[in-house]
Amino acid sequence: MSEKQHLDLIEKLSREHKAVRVHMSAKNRALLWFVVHMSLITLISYLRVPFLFDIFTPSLVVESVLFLSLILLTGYISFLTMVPGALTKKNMIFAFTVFIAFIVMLFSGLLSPQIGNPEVLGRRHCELEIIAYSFIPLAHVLYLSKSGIYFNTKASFIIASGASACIPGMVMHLACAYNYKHILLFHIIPIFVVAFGFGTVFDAVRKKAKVLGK
Amino acid sequence: MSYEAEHLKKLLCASQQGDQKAYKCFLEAILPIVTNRVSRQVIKKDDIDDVIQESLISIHKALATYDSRREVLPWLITIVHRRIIDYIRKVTRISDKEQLTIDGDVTFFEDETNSIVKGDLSILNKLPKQVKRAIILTKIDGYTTKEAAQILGVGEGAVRTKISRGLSKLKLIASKREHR
Repeated sequence: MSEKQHLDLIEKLSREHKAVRVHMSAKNRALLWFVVHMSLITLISYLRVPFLFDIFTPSLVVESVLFLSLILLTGYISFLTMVPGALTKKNMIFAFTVFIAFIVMLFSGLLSPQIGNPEVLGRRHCELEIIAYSFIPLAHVLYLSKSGIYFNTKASFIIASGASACIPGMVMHLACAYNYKHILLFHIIPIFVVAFGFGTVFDAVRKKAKVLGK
Repeated sequence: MSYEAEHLKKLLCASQQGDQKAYKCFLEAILPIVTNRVSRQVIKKDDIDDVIQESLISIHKALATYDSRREVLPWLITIVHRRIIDYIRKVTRISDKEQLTIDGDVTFFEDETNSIVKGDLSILNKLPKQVKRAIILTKIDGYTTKEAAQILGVGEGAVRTKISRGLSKLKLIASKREHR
């Protein structure tokens, strides 16, 4: 093959070329995704079991802000993976820092809890709610990814799955028992289960589908 | 942003709007960039043109993903780079499936490896899959440790360890064969 054949290909591509529907920016997509699914999951959770807003402490506010930032950042990063060359180390480091800050806050709360043991405020099966509700935002991300290009499918699916699980995780953080041991065991662990478990499974299914020619 | 990058950006934005002339100019302008990248990383000359063609087609398919607020070159180079990685993985998968046969003309880049194998490449089939791949990539295909690490999806240190262990095992196998 020679340069002439490359130029022939260019001629063919440009002759058949039509306007394309430019994708929404990753930032706007992430914001829209977050607002829609946060509202939807909050509504579903509230209808199932009403929330108890009796406990509001400064540390809960800080944790909530960190958690919300984490959801937005990981959602943003999963949409950035659909844009070639857009994801940078800086984005990843920043998201990782917020994640570490959030986990540190939770563990510090575990060591010096601000409130007693409000087991009575516990919400039954909150871990199952987190896993079940995470499918809603995750399905949306997977649908949008059809029009994008994943460059590192496993990492992209893991991040998208983690971000999706963080949304119901955040809702449970406000709606469920304000007990750090419970949060770590029944909110954070399910998020990791969804992130790594579902992320890996979806990636394997996608690869299998490619191999089968679908 | 350089003048060239700025110019490419304008052409690309116009292409997204459906301007066929701008799109042709854009593809012609990026052809040397794509050719340069691919030629540097694809060692087999017969495959260079195929990878260039695949890269151009991928760029064509990915047109909607370009965000005009971002720079063109990272977008372009990422697409080309992924096509190169896909090609390397495909070639490595093929070489994994093929049983290596005795071929006196194939030599390793280093005398040490040549002296262990002594022209009998089938000896490599005795190694674990990932170790065999690491040795093939670095000692036969001529990739650097960094490139091999990227292909295999492991760290550079892991690649060096695999190669070192692989060569030690090859020495052991080769010396056992000599003593028979």
